[in-house]
Amino acid sequence: MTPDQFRRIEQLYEQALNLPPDQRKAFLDDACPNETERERVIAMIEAHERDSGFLSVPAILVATQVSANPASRAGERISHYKILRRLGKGGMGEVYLAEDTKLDRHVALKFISTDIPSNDERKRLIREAKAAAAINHPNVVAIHEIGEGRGVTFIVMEYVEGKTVADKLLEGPFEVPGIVDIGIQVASALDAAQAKGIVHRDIKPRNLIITRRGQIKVLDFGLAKFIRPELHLHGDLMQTTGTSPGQMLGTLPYMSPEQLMGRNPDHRSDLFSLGVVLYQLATGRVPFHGMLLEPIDQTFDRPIDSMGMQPGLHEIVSKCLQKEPEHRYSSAGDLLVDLKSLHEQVVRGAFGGLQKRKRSRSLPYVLQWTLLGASLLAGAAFAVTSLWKPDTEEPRRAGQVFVRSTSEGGQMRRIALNHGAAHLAVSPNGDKLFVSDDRRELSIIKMADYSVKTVALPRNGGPLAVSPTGQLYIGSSRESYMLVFDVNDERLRDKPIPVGAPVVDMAFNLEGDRLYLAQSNAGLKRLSIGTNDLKQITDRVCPEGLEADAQGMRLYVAYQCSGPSGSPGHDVVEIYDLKTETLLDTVGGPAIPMVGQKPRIAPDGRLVMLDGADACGLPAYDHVGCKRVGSHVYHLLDATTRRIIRSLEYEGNEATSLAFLDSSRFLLSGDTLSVVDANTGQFVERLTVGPEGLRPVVVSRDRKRAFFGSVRKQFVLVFELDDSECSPKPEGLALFYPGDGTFTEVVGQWGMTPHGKIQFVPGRVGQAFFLDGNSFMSTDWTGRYQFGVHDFSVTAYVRFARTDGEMDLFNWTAENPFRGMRLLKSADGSFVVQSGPNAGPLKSTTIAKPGVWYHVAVTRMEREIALYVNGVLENSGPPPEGRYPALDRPLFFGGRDGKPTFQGWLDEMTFYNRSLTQQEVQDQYLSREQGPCRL
Amino acid sequence: MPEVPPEEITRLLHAWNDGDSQALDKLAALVESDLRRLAQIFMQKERAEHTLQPTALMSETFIRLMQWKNPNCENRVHFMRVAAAIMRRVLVDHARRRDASAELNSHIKPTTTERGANLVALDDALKQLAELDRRKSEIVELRFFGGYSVAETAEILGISPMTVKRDWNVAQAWLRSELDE
Repeated sequence: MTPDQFRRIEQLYEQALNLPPDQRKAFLDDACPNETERERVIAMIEAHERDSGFLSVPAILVATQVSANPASRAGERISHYKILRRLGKGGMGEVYLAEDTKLDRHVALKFISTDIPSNDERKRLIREAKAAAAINHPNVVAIHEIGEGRGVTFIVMEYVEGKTVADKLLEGPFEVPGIVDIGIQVASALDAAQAKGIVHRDIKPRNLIITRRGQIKVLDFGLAKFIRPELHLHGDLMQTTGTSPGQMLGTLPYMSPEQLMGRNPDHRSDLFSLGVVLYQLATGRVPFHGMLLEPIDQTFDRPIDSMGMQPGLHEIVSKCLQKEPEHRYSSAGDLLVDLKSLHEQVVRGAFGGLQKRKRSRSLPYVLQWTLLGASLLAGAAFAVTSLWKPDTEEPRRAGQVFVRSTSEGGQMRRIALNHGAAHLAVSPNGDKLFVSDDRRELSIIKMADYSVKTVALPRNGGPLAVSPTGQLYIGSSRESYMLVFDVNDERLRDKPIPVGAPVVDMAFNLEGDRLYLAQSNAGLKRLSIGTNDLKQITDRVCPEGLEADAQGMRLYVAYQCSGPSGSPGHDVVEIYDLKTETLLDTVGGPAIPMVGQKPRIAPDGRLVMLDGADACGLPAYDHVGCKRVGSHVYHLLDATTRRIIRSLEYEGNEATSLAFLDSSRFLLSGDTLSVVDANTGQFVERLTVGPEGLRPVVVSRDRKRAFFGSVRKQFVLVFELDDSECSPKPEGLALFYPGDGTFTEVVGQWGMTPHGKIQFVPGRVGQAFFLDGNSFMSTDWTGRYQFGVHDFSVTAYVRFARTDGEMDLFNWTAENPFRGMRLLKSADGSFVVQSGPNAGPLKSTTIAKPGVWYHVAVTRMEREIALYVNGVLENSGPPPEGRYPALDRPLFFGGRDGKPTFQGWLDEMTFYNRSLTQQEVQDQYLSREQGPCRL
Repeated sequence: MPEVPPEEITRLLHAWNDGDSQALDKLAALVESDLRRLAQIFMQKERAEHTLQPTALMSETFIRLMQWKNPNCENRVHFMRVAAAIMRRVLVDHARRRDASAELNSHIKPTTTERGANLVALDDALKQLAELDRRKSEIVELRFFGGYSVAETAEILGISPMTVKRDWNVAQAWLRSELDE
């Protein structure tokens, strides 16, 4: 064909198209004598009619669609392998399950990039991979073969079933024994590799598979260079790659300094990466964050926050994370030695209490929660948290108390204490809060100004109980004396009262003239107030918790491994008539396993919830200590008949703590937060609040507030339970301040519908790190949240800001309407929302001043995008055309001071204009004044 | 990866602007390995779940790449053209290599559909079209390989959007009919 011919064809084509279809043929017969040309025009017209979308999808999408077809290779044969199916997102990435037809076994086939520069290079890499295949070790995924053929290279590996550590991290926190165990297994693998001179180069949670039996298998040894595209690290990696894919970013946090600086890693780099993994298992975060945006040197010079990690583990991890390889463990073998000895220590300490089945104490960390007793007045709500380790010599971490007063508009206050916060009591008129642990200190917090006064005690502290007449009784958890403290004078009464043994739990009767004491080795006693007479109620040993109902009728005492005078027996619960102190009933026995924990009584006294044992009778942790297996049983006792009317069984990890919401419902917390109908055991409402879970839960007596604690992040969320119309109030706000200028913000919104459903929408659970004052990075966790009738999920993504203030968002899920949107700070200091490179930017009128914090939010409603600065709408505009799904109604509200100022999908990005010092965070966040980040 | 002197890039860009069409090819060759890597990253399966914005890929990443190498370069339109050309080469090369193992690529149908266009055949047809009507082949390269919109393509080529649309229409039909044979 010639260009002239083409021109003719073009003309004819256009002319023919302009005619109605039935006239086209005639026209062409007439106008186009050349048969070839005519046929071509006809073919073109047909092509146009049939497939006018031809080439309308850009090539890059075509290419990825084609290669992403999951079923693409199934059923194919390559060499002597028959491909069965894609293994998908399981342990091994883009790998296929195949059948080895020669050896009749299942294998995993991984196809690797064919884009290797030269043949020599490729051969060298294959040689490397083959050398790695020679590592024969139970913790290494075995490589059977490296196959080549027909332009394709593939690796045949052992097929391992299981989840990756990355998947498990999303499910929940790890416990110390499990973490150490993982460390041992990976270090063993590294040790074997080191013996063969192999460096892994890419140790990260995605490359560690945990089998069902808890065995760790390390994936992709020696294949890092082969599988991944070459990372060219020229200075600022982000600039080179622009919108980097999650894959590349996923590796970076685990890379050693020398790798990041472009040097060749050695086996000590693998130890570094293992250190990062262990750190993440212990704390949920990676230790180094700023690496993308500051000179690499600086990142690793910063000391690592231990985040409350077990000290032995912290020591080991810190050594792995040293910037200079010379300062790390010199070999995997050395690391192994330390890990093994830590393992022994930890296992012994952690499970030493197994015989007594003291569940809460078998954990290395104990998060103690105390709900205030009878007097919860003046609209104040209290919750207490502390992290402490029992049974060890370790110095205890200080505790914190979070106070939230509804009368003050919902701000949370955090009060730090010098000692642990294990026990709580409030004064009768609600003006003072008493906090103690088992040290010789008592803290008194005045509710009026949140001032803290610490009083030294002559004896070790313990459980607290306040009598109606205003005397605070302080039991001792170590000694056999009780102290009495006058609430008004704030002084100790003269003489300690001897009570014969340390006290585990206490409760007053209604009149306040009798105090019942649970004493581990001495049974149940009653102390008469005033005369200080002691009466032994029962000898049964190991009472663990007791509770009197609000009506003053019954006393419930839970025992662990009890029996009269020390003989072995089952856990039971004794029910006493409180007025006559006669034993009415004993509940429990071989058929109804109990675990001695404090009974929970409904506000009207009619139902009592008793803690049952796990189905297998022990606090069960699976092999790697990830979470409990087995289930958690609660027994519902009818107070009138004193019979267990129902036993409710829940998944172990969803039901670690319980509190009555009202007479017929209780809140169950663990990894999920649920409202349960007490009579039927059915879930009324079920919410998951993120992978770390919030536990345990405690509801205030007036049923107005619920308290949730995060196991990992020492904070409390306090929520208003509001019976009014569903209008979520942005009042759930808590802060955690580890002390190095970083903070975590958890923002949630609450509401209760008229039907009694509790709705909770957590905002971003994230962590922001200040870098050089102009940028920060935050990470989020995967969670699945339910809001009303909408289900939406957020997948983990990384946001980062560059030094010029630009932020990129990527890896959004389909539900998120913010794909391709960016929030920027322009050169003149205004905030700019830009969507895609084409749409006009939305600019704020506020010009950011240095040293000032701004809260910038972008919302997308159905017909517009809006930009808010500090809660004030500054600009709005139409969303860009095309890809965003239309919303037919806003999803939730936000506002200031209870008034909605915006509605819709909310995505907040908070801009910090410079880094703050500790003092500033203290002042701005933890003082009574409004912090800058309030909604 | 050899460092590309910034002056070289500028020189080639000027040359291309002055009418030296070879210069564009040379320029593409210089930065190809970078973009090859980038394209490869985007072709990893994990990425495929998320909607890609080809324009973002091309202009954003490539421009950044260029700016990093050559901070004084401002000629965005030039970059966009080069980027599309490179993307074409990278994708087609990749397809050629995959085509080599016919068995494993039986899912790529030889007949063209919206999604399953055989890039290798298309590339050949496009080369033919270039001989017949250069501007149309450029439009296809920009729109299909570069992923640019009608407006952007018009800006790059300095023609009206109407012209782009008409040419695109014809080119589509011609290519389709060519590939069907």
